[in-house]
Amino acid sequence: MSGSGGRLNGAINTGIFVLRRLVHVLPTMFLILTVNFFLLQMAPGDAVDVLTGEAGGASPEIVEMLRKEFGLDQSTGMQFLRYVQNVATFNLGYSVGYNGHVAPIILERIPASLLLMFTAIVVALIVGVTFGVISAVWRGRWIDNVINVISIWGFALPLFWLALMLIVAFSLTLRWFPASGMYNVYQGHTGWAFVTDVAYHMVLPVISLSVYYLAIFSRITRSSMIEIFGQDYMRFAKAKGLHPARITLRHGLRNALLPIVTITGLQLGAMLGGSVVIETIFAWPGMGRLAFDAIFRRDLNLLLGILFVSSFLVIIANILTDMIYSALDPRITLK
Amino acid sequence: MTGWPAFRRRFLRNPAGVFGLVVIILMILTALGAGLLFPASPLSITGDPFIWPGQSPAHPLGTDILGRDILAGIVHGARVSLIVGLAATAIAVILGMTLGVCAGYFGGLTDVVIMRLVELFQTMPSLIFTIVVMVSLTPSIPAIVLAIGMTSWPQIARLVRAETLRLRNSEFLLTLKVLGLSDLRIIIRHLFPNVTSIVVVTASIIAAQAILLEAAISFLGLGNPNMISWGSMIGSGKEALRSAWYMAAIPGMAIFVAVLGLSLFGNGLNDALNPQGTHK
Repeated sequence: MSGSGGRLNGAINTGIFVLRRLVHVLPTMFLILTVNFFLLQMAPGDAVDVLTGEAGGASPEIVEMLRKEFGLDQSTGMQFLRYVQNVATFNLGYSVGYNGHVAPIILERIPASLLLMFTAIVVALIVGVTFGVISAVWRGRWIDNVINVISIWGFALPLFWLALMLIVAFSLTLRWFPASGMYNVYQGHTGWAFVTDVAYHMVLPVISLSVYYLAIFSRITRSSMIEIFGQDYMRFAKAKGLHPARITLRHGLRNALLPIVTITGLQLGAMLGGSVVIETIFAWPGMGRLAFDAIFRRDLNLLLGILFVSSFLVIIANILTDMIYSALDPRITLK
Repeated sequence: MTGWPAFRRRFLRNPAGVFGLVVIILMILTALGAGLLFPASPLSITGDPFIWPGQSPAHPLGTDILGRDILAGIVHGARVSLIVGLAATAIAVILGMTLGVCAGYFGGLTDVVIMRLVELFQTMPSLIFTIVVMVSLTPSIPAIVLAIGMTSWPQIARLVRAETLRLRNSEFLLTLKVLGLSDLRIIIRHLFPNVTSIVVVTASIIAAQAILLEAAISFLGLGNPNMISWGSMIGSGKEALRSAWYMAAIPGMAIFVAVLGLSLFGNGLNDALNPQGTHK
């Protein structure tokens, strides 16, 4: 078959895979909505009392609008149906605290969060995998012990505390990096100057967010590399007289990456949670910071929206993970 | 070599695991003795504010912004961390073992439904879920325990289910069935004991995660305001980061040591339970 035909087939297969996965997650999304609705019902008072009262009172028009939106005059079952119907049309309700619809408020904050998390994952991957490979190659030597200690410590450090200590050291004392914000508002940078300014603001939050994942990645790389070193094909590569570095990287690392891809997908939820505290500390204008503001204003509807959107992001990430997995290992086809 | 004496010998040979055990024992003693060591409420003001550690013998670890003793806070805070860590883990273990065994043993629709629930709680980011629970209920220790327990059980359920699936078609289990034992009896008397060892290792990791999660929730100001916790101490210390960083630093070290102890203890248990894995 011609190359373009194969590519087309591949694209169709991928498309079918994504569609099938999205259909498969529909029940999960439905369950998340059920949990959300249940939590809304658990809160003291009716939903509108919760949404308006705790947000510091709202005008009678808004109260009226909300009561209509939630259909509070109807039965619980009808309210639930209405809720599901609203969410299905991307209507996540109204935020009294922000005086606007929840969905656009959240969507506006997603890029900043994704930028932070993506950079943190990339940094954690590069450093963690390097650590893991070094550890596995020089197993039992001093460097392995040092890396093991780093990864065990990284696992136990509360990341919000690490963030504060980094601020004390590198921001307040040494004055190397800014402690808050995403860019310098007063200087109004554009183009490359803006990009470097954002990068400069990202240093401390990215380090704080990546340490935990760096620890996980380094540990997993180490153990899977050690397992792979004992495999027949590695002995074969050695017998062929290939250069040790080439064997380690081409034959070893490529296979060791598979479990890492799986873990990255599984850990994304934890990272979204971690970004709430990190964004709060560094005043990073993302979804996590929004969640903190919503806590402060007791804006339950906005929080439920954030829970829903972040769960959806985890699902998307897992689908992407599977696609990367099959790209790395040709034996696995997308099903 | 099998049995308890051999296991104990293997565990005690591992210094990191023993260190973890010592940390856990010290933490339990601290939590139990908090009332004796510092009878006054740790939230009461006992001296001048902003006393640095080592400056005054009356306050070895100094005082915070309001003049509350930091050592008293650390000692009493151990209670909250320990209660939350233990109780949330207990919920996770009970739910995870029961649902995991049921999913693996009965299979079919039971399995499908339980695995859907596992997927649900593994999809929702646990910290964000816990935040939403804390905001919709009143912030209290039981609420935080419930929320953390609910997000942690899937880890146990998955392991237990896999182990049960492995045992389900073993001769040992088929014999029990032929003997006419009821499902409940097989599960409680024969399946649970067989999955305990993998559960114990995961439980220590879950306890560590629970302590970190509780600290983050209290740091964000969602904990019980009438109880001091390490997370809330860091939260209030944050306000004085510029002039008195020790207020945030000290409780953070307490969290670090506690979580480190639990995870080293878990690693030690794992190595002692699977001796062949360590000499690979």
